[in-house]
Amino acid sequence: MIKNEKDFWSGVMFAAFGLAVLAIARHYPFGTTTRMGPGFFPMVLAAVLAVFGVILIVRACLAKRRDRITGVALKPLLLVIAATVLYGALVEDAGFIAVTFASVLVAARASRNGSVAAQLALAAGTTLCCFLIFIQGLGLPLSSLGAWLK
Amino acid sequence: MELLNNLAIGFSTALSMTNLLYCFFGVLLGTLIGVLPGLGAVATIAMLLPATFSLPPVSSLIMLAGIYYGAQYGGSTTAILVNLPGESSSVVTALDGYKMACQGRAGAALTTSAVGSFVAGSLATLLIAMFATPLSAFALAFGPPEYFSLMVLGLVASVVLAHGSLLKAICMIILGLLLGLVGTDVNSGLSRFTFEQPQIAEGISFVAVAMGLFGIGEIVRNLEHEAGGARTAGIPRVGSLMPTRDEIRRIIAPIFRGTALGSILGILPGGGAMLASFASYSLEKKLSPHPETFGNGAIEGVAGPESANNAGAQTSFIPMLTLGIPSNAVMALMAGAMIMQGIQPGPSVMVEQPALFWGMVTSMWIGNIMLVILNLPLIGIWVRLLAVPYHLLFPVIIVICGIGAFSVSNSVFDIHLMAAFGVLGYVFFKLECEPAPLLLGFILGPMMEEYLRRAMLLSRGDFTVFLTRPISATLLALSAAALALVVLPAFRKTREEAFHEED
Repeated sequence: MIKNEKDFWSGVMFAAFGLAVLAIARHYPFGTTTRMGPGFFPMVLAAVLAVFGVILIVRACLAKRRDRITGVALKPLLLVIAATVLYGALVEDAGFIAVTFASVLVAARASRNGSVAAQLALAAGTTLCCFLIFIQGLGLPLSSLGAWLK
Repeated sequence: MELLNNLAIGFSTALSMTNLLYCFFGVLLGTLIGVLPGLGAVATIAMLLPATFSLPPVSSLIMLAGIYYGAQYGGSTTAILVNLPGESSSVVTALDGYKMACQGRAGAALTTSAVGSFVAGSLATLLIAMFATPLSAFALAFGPPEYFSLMVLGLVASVVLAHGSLLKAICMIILGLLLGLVGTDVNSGLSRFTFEQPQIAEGISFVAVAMGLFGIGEIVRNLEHEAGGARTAGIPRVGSLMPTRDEIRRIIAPIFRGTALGSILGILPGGGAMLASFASYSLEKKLSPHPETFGNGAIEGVAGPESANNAGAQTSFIPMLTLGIPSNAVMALMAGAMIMQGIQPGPSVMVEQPALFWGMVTSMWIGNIMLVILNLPLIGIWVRLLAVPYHLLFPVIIVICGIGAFSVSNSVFDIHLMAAFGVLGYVFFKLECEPAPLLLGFILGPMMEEYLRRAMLLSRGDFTVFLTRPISATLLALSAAALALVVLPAFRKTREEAFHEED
């Protein structure tokens, strides 16, 4: 049983990242030490990263102190990320106004606090302010209504 | 006198109407951010970076710098009034500042903090002006091997003085360096790690990384610990702003000691403002004839750390401005802003763009004056802002992050990239991996590779070049010594204790 979960999974993450970079970068010309190719620096770094990741894994398996990962805020995480991705996915098709309103509403659900009415008011207020500042004021090249509503 | 000449150039730039205005915007926003719950200086600067790209470089840097030291001020206000440090560097201020507020002396604590910060800010600015020229002149003699070793030292030191596991922090640096390499290789023209996505052919958007890790990731982190209800309850009355005669006498020495300590620690990479305030608090406690009053509303415990953190915040600009090596996450963002404005941070900035360099330095002093004016008479407004509940704040932050990420290159792709880094930021938090070293590595990655390449070309592939050139060898020896220090059990223990007080 692994006691130190935080170190263990950090190690897995770093080792996996290092190995992935090694797998990609081995196709790049390595060059010589005098004339380093584009593969040289990433290969060296990734190798070190992978080794350190493995050390972390081994150390975590031998650790005596418990360090568990607890209390992952899955719902807030999903909703916050959903609000962000929604913004990116729809801002060009649905337009600035609709997407800003929707994103605020989705994001606001991530909190335990606030009534639906307050969230609607917040979304409306944010949309209005952002519209005035970013579209009217700073002239951001985004369509306020979008392709769908035109 | 050269110093006066330089300052004159600076003031003529900083005192222009536009720059004064941006300086004011910066410190105002900074204070606001420092006061509002759950919004850090790093996230704010990342959020506002895109908005400053259309400004002239000097105005944008003046404003960004203003946000940084403004946030230090605002953070102390919340620390004193509601025992919630807005910035990690004001954690110590909360210890005695809040106790003073409970005793009805909030006004005196706020004044002490403002005056201390102002004195510290002014002296530290003068220090930057004095040190910048010789340091830059020294750095101009650096060749590629020296630069490479200097970056190694900068990265190593940022790890040593940061908290948490050393091995993880080093891994985070390497991860950052690798992420920085994504995009077209300048030497061969080869696209690296781009997965044939044209949007990242020029590299991963720095703004997307910073906003994802520090903006979006931070929001989820705050929501994890979200409590029900607002925090309006228990904001104490500010009371008289004037400290008593006795209190004035007691704060003078701590202010100057704090300034000296903060100025020195601020220059060290990775340390900056937070370390300075911790060190100053323990120093004042040791020197005080009544150490038992510390923790029960000792005004020295507010004056010292507050001066120290502001001095540290100012002098942490020195390595970035003179050597091009950012020493903490905020400085990494400033360096990123300079790069996006087409200015390569480093010793040549002062020679080639004296107006920009000195304008920025002098604007810091002007900004400090503005902060005193902003904070003391207007304290009532900030107190009311303290009551803004987080659940009304973070959805707005998300939308502004989305707009910001988009506006850098008008690309929807960057919003998704930011979302991905947001997830990563939360994963890092859960695994106790500090994201700041990653950001430093991300900025330094391409530069480090380039200097390594040039050094190797000059030495014909001989790695000993880093050890045979005296400056480079010294820098590497310092890095090794710093690493050895962390591994030593005695230092390790004090380091862990120092950072535990914060948690």
